[in-house]
Order: sequence, then structure tokens, then C-alpha cells
Amino acid sequence: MFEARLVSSSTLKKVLDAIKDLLNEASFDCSDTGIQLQAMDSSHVSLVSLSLRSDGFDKYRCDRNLTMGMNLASMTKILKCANNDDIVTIKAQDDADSVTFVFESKKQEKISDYEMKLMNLDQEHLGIPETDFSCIIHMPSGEFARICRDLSQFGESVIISCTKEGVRFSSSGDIGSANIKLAQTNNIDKEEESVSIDLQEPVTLTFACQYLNSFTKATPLSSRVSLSMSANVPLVVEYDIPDLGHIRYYLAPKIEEDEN
Amino acid sequence: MPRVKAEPKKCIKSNLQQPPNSWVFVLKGETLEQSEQYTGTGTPDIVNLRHPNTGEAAVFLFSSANNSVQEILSFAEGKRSWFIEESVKSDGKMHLSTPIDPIFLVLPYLRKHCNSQAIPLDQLLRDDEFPQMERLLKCSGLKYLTMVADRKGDEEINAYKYNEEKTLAWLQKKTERVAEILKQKKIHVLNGAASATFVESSRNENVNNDAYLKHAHGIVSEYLMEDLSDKLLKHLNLSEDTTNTILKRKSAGSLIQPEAKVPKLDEERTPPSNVLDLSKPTLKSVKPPIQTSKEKSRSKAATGSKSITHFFKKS
Repeated sequence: MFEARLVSSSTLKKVLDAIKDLLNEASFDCSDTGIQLQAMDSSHVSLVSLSLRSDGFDKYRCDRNLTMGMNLASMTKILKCANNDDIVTIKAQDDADSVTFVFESKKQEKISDYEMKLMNLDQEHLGIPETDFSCIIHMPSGEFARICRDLSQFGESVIISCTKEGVRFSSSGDIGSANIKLAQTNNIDKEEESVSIDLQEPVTLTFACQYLNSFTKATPLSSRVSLSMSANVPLVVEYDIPDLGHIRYYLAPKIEEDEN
Repeated sequence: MPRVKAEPKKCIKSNLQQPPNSWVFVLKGETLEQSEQYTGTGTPDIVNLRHPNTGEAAVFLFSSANNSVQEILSFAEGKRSWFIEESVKSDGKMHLSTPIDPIFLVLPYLRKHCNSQAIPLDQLLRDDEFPQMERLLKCSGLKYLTMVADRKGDEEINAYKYNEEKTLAWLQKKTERVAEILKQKKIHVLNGAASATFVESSRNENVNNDAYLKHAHGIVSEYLMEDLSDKLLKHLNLSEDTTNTILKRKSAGSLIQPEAKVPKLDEERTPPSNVLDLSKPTLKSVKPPIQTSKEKSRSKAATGSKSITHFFKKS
């Protein structure tokens, strides 16, 4: 028996919004420590890793490890049926072929349940090595989303270059070029809005805009985002889900064209 | 290798209780009849042996007394089933067997182990992967093993050492005989299409001889390791590049080879991974998954990036 209860269905909606742009279906691995999800997009360039800790749930019970393959489009349809302040409970039997979502309104006057068929997805798990990144940028997630959106109008790829002066995002294309430079701000009053750079050595990497834009779908989950980069390893874009866990996106860098 | 044409006798092994286990098998009558002269208990037996070209498992047929070995070719075209008595067998494959010179099967072992030393034949043919290899010892064809190897020491020990010169001479004879048969049967091996009734002037005969020899070399090479096939080509004084074009032409013009055996044609098209399992590669039509416009644009955006699996190892 698996049962996980969240006080607010809006969190689950946001989590789903954050992954459904990249993935069509995904398997949720449930264990007594929580729910994990790891999946690559269809082009196998990026990887989504979601972790929801069991203690972040209002109520959590998982008797036996369970993998639930879900079609994310169907799951979105079901979650659209829930109000944002509904209490949501995810339930499944141990070897079930379906999962049940129960939505309870705040005053318990309305209880609806939706059953969804599970899918058999044979997904391979990738081992992600611990990496000491050359630089880690912490910045407001809204700012990052804005930068990605703005730069994607200019070109298909973004060059992120991080030095001790600050971080520069640049892009160029048919209409011209764009550069956005962020300096480090250590504003103690407004910690939420500060940009901090933890730099070991300067890094410059190129990434596909479209993927970064897909990652920023997680912006509603957290006010902060962290970008971790090292030469020739994937970029890690991490959003914290307050009191519940985190979502990490890994994106392989573009191979430099002028590299011989 | 000459392929003797004989009146095929249809032998249907059908097991109505277990239809999936039955095969439709066309084989020469004498293969079965031998069991009457033979006093032992054996029946013709189908076993896995190492294929001399690919080194992988392939299916062969031993006669009841183990004195001859035949290779089994399977022929399958997509939509076909068999009616067997009152039932339908959905597997439309047809299996054919043709005798094969056992020396071809022994040759890879000889080349691998007996280059510098002589090894008794019974030890040579001990292969843990293919234990049935030992049955070749009883094959009457192996008494001609001296055509490719030198016998060393006492006759009783039956030890051999590989001799490449002899092998190439033997292969040359084989190739020439195949070419002869091709010529006799007027199998079209040249480029381009030709009417089956077209009579060529004798002027072209020399050119044709070479073409037949090349085609024959192609057929013989199906039973040889690649390096030996190249050596044979040099030995026959044929240049390699023309062979490639001939092969290309062969597959392009395969439909107009009136008498070429159908499985052979298949063999030429499929990569030599498993020569005998011809049906699988030709039948496989990979359907590309339907992509939404979003996925398409994303895969476009992904160009120039390495796959993420390149960075993270599968666990």
C-alpha cells in the first residue's frame, strides 16, 4: 500500500508543470524515504531529477518500494480537476496497475477521486557522479526565467560565462546579439533578490535556449535557482521545493564549434 | 562449391499439438534414407556449429551416421503461412538444407590454433561453446583435410598443421568449380539487366570469365573469414575494388538473376552477422516514433550537444 498526502494540491500542480514540458511520461519511484523521479527528455540531452522527501508530506506511507509509470498529460488532466487549496492524496496498491488521486476540499464537503491507469516504462537509471563545480550561481528564479526568455528571441543557444566580476549571458542570431551581465550583489536586506557567485575558476559554456526555457517552468516552485557549471560537464539547474525536496535539471553543453 | 540439384523430397515435420515447434523443411531424400543402411540409433540431427564466416552460432544438419553435414538456410518473406493438413502454420519460413564441405567448418579452427604447431584433430575440434563440433570427426569429407593442412607425425594421432599455400590452391579450385557451375547454368553475374534469352557473342568470354570468377569468389567467401577471403582474391589475381562494384551490382540487379537461389540473394543483402538467420534483418522495418512538433523543435535544439548518457553512467 502506498499513500501520500499533501495539504496543498498546488505544489503538486507546480511540480507537474515543471516536468511535463520536457517529459511525456515518467516513472515515479516510491520508497519509504520519499518519491524520486529520474528521466531524460526524448532527445536524451537533458535529464530531470525530482526528489520529494517523505517528511515533506502531510502523511506518507509506503510499505513496499513501488514504481509508477505515469503519462504526464493524463496526470495533468486529472490535476486540473483539483482546486489549488484542495488536499490531495495519492494512493496505490502494492502491485497495482492504477493509481488513485483523491482531492478533498478544505471544509471536507467535497471529496473526489480519480483513478488513472499506470504504464510500464522501462527506464534506465543513470548514476550521477558527485561533481565539484567550478562555479555555482545563486540567483532569483524569476530573473533567470526572464533572461532565458529574452535571450531566446535572439538565438538558439546561450553562452553562459562566469568570471569573478559576474556572470554574463549572451546570445546572437540573425537580428543581432544580446548580452546580459549580472554582477554579484550581496544585499543582506533583500536576500531573495541577491545574486551570489561561488567561483573556483572561470567557466564559459554554451547551452540550447529551448531547454533552459523548459527548465524555467519550475520557477513557481521556488524564488531561488542555482546554476552549477564546470567545463565539459552538464549544467545543473536546481530549484528547491520548500519543505518538500528539490528538482534538478541536467543539460549537456553544446560542443564548441571552434574547438579543434 | 557445386550445388548439386536433386529432386527435392518434401518432408514436413509437423506436430499438431505443438505447432510453434514445427518447421517446414525441404531436404534431399537421400539424407533421410541413409538412416536405413545405418544400424545405429541416430536420426538426422540439427545442431548449432560455429559458422566459418561469422564465427557465430549457425544451424547445421548432421546425417544420421554423422558422415555428412549440411548447412540449413531459411527463407522467409513477410506475409506467408503454410497450410499443413487441416491447420495453418503462421510461421511462413521455409528451411532448405544443402551439403557443405566440412573442411570449411574446420578451417577457422585450423587457422586459429594450428599455425605454428600441429594439433590432433580430435583435440582441435573440441569447442566448449559448440560441443557438437566433435561430430565432424566422423564426416567422410575430412579425409581430404590434407588439401588444406599437413599431417604431422603418426597417422594414428591424426595431427595437422595449417598450410596456407595448400589452402589457397584448394580454395582456388573450389572457386573455379563454382564459376563453372555458374557458367553452365547461365547465371547472370554482370552489371545491368539482360534478357534470359540473350546470347552473348564469344568475344566477351574473357571478360565474362573474370566476372564469373568474382561472383564465385563472393559465394565461396561466405564460408571464409574475411582475411582469408581477401587472400584468396589476391591469389586469384582479381582486384578488390571491382569486386565491390560487382557485389553492388549484384544486389541491385538481383531480381534479374533467374536461377540464383533465393536464400543466396538474401544473404548478399544482409550483413554477415548471422548468415543463416536470413529472415530477421529483412523483415525488420523500424518505424520511427511519431514526433510532435514540440519534440521536433526540441531535437533540433539538441543538435550540437552530446547525449546526457555520455556524462552519466548507467547504473
